[in-house]
Formats: sequence, C-alpha cells, structure tokens
Amino acid sequence: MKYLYSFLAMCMKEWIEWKRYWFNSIIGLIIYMIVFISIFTGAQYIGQNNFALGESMEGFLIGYALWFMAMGAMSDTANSIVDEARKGTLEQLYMTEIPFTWLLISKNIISTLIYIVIFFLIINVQMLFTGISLNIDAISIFITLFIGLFSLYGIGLVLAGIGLVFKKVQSLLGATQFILIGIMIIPSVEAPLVKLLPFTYTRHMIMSIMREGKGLLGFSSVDYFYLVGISTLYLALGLAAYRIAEAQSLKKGMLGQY
Amino acid sequence: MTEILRLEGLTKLYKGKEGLKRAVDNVSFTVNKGEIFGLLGPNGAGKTSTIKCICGLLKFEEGEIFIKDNSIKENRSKGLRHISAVLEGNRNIYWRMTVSENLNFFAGINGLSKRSIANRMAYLLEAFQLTEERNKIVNHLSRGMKQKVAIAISLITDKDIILLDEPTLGLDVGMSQEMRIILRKIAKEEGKTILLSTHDMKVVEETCDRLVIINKGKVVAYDTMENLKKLFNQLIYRIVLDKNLTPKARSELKHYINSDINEEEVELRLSLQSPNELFGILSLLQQEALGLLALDRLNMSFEEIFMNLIREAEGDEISI
Repeated sequence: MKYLYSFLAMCMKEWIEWKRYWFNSIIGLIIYMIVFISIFTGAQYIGQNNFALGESMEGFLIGYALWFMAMGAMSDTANSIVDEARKGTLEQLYMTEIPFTWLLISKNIISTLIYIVIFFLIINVQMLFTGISLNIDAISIFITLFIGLFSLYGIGLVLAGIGLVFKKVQSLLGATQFILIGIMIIPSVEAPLVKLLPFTYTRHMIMSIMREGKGLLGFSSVDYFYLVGISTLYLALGLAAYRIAEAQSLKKGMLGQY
Repeated sequence: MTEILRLEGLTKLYKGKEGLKRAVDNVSFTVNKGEIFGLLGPNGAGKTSTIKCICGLLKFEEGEIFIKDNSIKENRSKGLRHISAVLEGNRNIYWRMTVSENLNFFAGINGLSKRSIANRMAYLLEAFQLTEERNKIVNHLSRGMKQKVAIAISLITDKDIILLDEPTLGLDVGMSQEMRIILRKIAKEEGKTILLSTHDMKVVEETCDRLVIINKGKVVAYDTMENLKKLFNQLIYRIVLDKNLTPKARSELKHYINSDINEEEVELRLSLQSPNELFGILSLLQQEALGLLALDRLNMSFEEIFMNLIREAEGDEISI
C-alpha cells in the first residue's frame, strides 16, 4: 500500500504542477503546431511530398508528433531531477522510506500517460489540418508507446546522472534533439544495429499501426521482443548509469547542489 | 534515558586541491530520546556534513551511525524510517505548491494515505498557526512562515527524530524567538528528539539540553548546556581603575589577565582560580595607588564560552 500511496502522491504533484504551469504547456503546444504548419505549408508549396522526417507526408506527420513526444519524455526525466536538485527537494525525496527509484518510475509512468494523451491530441489536430487520414487504433498505439517510451527514459536517466555530477546538461539535451531527429527519419529497421537504437523499433511499429492499419495482433513475437527488450535494455542501462552518478553524488554531497 | 542516535568515530573526507580534507573528523556522540541536542560550530565546521551523513545523503569513509540501533551504513532505509529533516533553511518544500499540498505530498511519498494524516495535518496547521495559510502557495509566504511549513512537513510523517539544519537562519528576531518556542513545544508535547545544527547561540542557549561543539570537523566540547556554562562563568571579574596600571601592577597581574593590555587600559577582566585571590590583587592596587571605580563578577554569555572553546581548540590563548 505504501508504494501505491507514494505513486498517488506523485500523480497529485504532476497534476498540480501541470495546473500551475498550464500556460507554459499550452504555449509549447501552440509553438509546436505553428512549426508544423510552417513545415507542412512549405512542403506543399515546393511540391515535395517525400522529404525529411519520413518517406511520405503521413510519415512526416507521425514522425514529427513522435519526435515532439520523445523529446518531452527524454528531457522530462533529466530536467525534473536536475530541477529537484536545484530547488533542494531532491534530498527530501532521497530521505523517504520508499526508494527513490520507485518515485522516479512512478513519475515516468505518469509522464508517459500525459505524453500519450498529448500525442493523440496533436496527431488529431494535424490530421484535421492536413486532411490526411491515419489509423488511430488507440489501444495498439497506447500500448506500443507506453512500452517504447521507457527506452527514452533510460536515456533521460543517463542525462540526469550526468546532470547530478557535472551539473549543466542543457547543451547535452539540445544535442539529443538532433539525435532523435536522426532516429525519426531512419527509413527501415532491417539493419541489426538500427534495431538496437532507442525508440527506433517503437517508431517502426507505430508507423505500421497508423499507416498500414496493423493491430497489436498483427505483430510477431520478434517485434514484441525488440519493443520490450530494447526498452528494458535502455531503462536498465539508464538506471545503472544513474546509480553510478548517484553514488558519486552521495560521496561528494552534491545531491542538493546545482 | 534511552539512546536513539549514536555516532561512533564518524569521519567524512572530501577531495580538494590540496588533497584529502577531513570535513568530519572522528566525531562521536549520542542523542537521547526526547531531548533537543545541539550541533554547534562556526561556518565550515562540519555541521551540515554530519547531519547529511545521519540522513544518509552523504557517504562517509570511517565510523558508524546507529539510528535506534540500525546501522545507516548497513541498512540505510531501516534507519531512515525514524528520521525526517529540514536541510539548509527551508529548501525541503515546493514553493509553487500550497501548504496543504506540500503536507499531503510529503506524507504520500512516505507511503501515508491522505485520510490517515488528516487529523495530524489539522493538528500541525493549528500548532504552527498555519490554518489560515493552508491554501496559500508557499512562495507567497514570508520567510518565517516558509520555515514553519518546512518544520511542519518534517513532522507530518510522525517520525522519532527530527534533524534541523540552521532552523533560524535568516529569520528576524521575533520569528526566531517564535521558532525557539515551537522547537521546545515539539520536544515537550510531541516527545520528539530534535538534533539541530546552528551557529545561533540564542537558539542553543534557550532550547538545547545537551550539545556538541565542533570546529574544523573535530569535537571541541560535548556536554550539557549547564556544565558548559559552569566551565567558564564562575571566576571572571571586571575591574575598572581610575588610572592606568603601573609597570609593577601590570607585571604582577599579567598572569590573571587573558586579554591584551595596552598602555591605556583602565578596565581589566581577570580570570581567577579562587575568589580569595581578589584580596592580593586589591592590596597590590592599593599599594600602587590605583583607585578602584568598579568591581563586578561577570556571567559569560554562551557566545563567549563558545568562542573560547573554539580558540582553545585552535591552540590560541583563551580571552576573557
């Protein structure tokens, strides 16, 4: 029960913070839509229908929404830990009976749900604006994204660990935006090494659901092996890297400094 | 008295440019249940490092910390079950959340339900005179109020030991006094054990039952407030003369006087082994034709005791 109450407390905090900063969240979404409309209109104007973020306009539409969501998910973990350290509240979170890792996972689960809702919201607005129709199989998309986003939280944990020890991570977070763009425009996941990149396989499966109309039952066990395996691998790597940074931080007394 | 917290040879090393520095150097003390225990020392003495080691927020190299006989080194989470803390003033609160949201959140992440803490929350809000502020965003409160919220948060989980790092830092005189009353109330009415670090003598003097004074990471004194005061306040006398000391009087009184004497000195502070020594001193002053304008016995403030202990530890002459 203790773990459930701590999870609910994290939910409550996320909701309160969202309520307090709703203006910032809405502005973020509006800017996203303005950029999207500009790119889309520009693409139509120059008559290209096969560029940048995907093999087609549908691909671009999904890829761009996924990129926006992935960026948020990845930077969310790093930013929230660094922000807690800066405010001094990270030390308090470390002093609870409930392990900090659980609090972190709780936060990630809540963030995942929020980001998936945002994904659905923006993809629908995009479809409305562009007139492009996509297969919105809510359950398939939700489950795939829910599992897939944890690979990005793993990367976020690595960045958070770096932030704990070296403090400034903003430039690193900026650089990861471009890495994510790279991941979003990879046309195929056939090459073995590409499969192992974080979120690549998730993106591939989401594309299959939304463009080809595949459902959860349409994927093979190999697909699920890659989806779950890669997320688990990156989350484990992220947790391990964070643990190393945390040990350093506890040794040097840097949890409350930023 | 039941021992609730024990430090045994705690040593914390930091790597610096000049090699390893001992921020906490072989510190040992015990804290008993229900007492207010002070951790006193100048800035950089190692107070915060000691508190953070107790909280499990800082790994230490040598020694042991036992909280209710649980080793923090071997089982951190078991030890933390009994501790809550307010570190560095009031940085344990979310400034963009309201008072009650903060209380609910910290109870929640400690595994307590909203319902189970409802009564305790109402009690704490009342006790800290925060009931009217319960729905205010913390950022809109005064510094003193924020500090009260921070301490209320540390009490919401009803743990046995409360660690407070500089609880009166930056508070005005009135609020600092109110805070001292609150601390005594927590210990008396709630039966909590409080370990507070401070360099505010007034807080120590008015609230602490026992204390440890540390300087440069080392224990300088460890006793009850009463005993520490007794150490210094018995035989200090102030003498005011009508003119400067003669060379003979200066020479003969030299070993009684700890403060520097200059040629203009007409007020002396003497440290005596026995009050009977006063007879000889007064007779000397009479022989030298020095008139006595005033003679008082001084009660040293705790600040003076503290400064003397620090100087003594650093190998300087004690000044009176």
